[in-house]
Amino acid sequence: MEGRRRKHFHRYQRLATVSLQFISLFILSSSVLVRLVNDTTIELDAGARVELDTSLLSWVLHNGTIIVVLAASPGTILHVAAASQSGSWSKVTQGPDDVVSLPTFLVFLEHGTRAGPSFAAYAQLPGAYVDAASADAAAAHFLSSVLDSRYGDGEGPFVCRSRANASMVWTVMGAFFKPSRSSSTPQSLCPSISTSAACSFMVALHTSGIISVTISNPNRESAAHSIVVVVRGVRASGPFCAPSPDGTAVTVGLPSGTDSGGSSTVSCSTV
Amino acid sequence: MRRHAYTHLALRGANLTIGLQMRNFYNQVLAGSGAGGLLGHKRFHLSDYSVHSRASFSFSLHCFSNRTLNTECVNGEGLQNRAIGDGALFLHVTGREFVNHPPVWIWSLLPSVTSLQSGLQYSCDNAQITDSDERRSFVGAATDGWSAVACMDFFRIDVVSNASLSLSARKMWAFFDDAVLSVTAGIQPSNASANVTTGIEQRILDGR
Repeated sequence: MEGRRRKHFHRYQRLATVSLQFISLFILSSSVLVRLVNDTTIELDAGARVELDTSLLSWVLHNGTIIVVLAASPGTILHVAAASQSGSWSKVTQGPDDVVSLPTFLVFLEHGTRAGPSFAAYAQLPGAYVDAASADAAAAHFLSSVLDSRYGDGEGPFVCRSRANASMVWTVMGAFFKPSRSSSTPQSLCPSISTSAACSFMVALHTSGIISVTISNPNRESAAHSIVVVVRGVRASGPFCAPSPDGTAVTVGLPSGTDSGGSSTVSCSTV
Repeated sequence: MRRHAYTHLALRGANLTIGLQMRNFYNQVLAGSGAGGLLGHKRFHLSDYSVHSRASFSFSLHCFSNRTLNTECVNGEGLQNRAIGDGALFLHVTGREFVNHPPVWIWSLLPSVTSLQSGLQYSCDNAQITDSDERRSFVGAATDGWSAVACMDFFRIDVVSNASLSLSARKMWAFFDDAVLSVTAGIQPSNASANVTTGIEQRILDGR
């Protein structure tokens, strides 16, 4: 941590009233760290809150889990609090009216007011990350594994990661709310994916050289029996795979009946 | 259930296999979230519900569609459940993160839920959806049993002071070995001046 600035946020102008019977909870220091892009680390003491523009954030660490905001509309504010929250059981169910309070780790995004649609993408990395150094490394590793993505398109968000799972070279995951096509940067490992119908999909290249395509049709249209997924830039063969002008067209049959809404997976061998 | 009861069943079970299964189940329940053999991704597509489990953590995702109820509030229980099916994503590491926590929750800031901060007071009267416009079909997930991508066409209406305020969004969750990526796109309130939030986390501070 040498050379890096640390700030302690002891209180915030809207700090909640502290109950004396819970004062012991505030003697213990919080395990919430907020890392900024300028290498400043904010350690939130119990009772403290911080607000910052998401563009200034590297990560948040609490109890071994890292939170990273990958992208958000300009002006999106991240709120982080390590403060007591109060309520009663009678508020949620049949129970006593007594006020109970618990120290709470709270994180949320405030999208603000704007005329057009907004978006945000964040990731949670559970683990045993204990300090800023380990969180730095983990967050950087995660971000570097995201090769391609589209978060702001409400019709077709997707993400492509390298080595997302142990046996996979790359994985493209997306939800196309209408027939759509993902993009890919020229130097990226990830192929462009297009689908013939609205669907959620996973396309993965395994270390064995197998391409697997998994889809489901959330709309569960009874007339839809299959969806064609075109994987551009990849040549593969198999019973469900056919050459397309710039890649491979994979036909995936959809479950029907009571299984409608379930997933189907087919595989092709890369050539 | 008590420890000696499980041991008793295991020892006296006519079928030793069943006894071993009972003991394994007991160990799994008490060993914490993600322990035991329930690893992978399971999509309950008839319930619009997913569980993503690894050895050291698990996530649960609660959605609703035009095929399911968003929640229920009966017998005076579930009074604040209005948003519990709006794409709430809960991370469990020890299984004790939320013990006795719900009474202090800010229910419009549940993890992964995008909400209008309209001032609507959640109650049993507005917990269950009654407007068919809020019930969308494009809700589901593709999974190979280990990884998954889930999605939800999200639309909610808050009626406050006789005014209807709506919020639409397109949500996607990508479940990996080491992380879950949550995307909310196309966030559009009917009133451009409305404040919209997306929860990320709300759990007991330092809870273990």
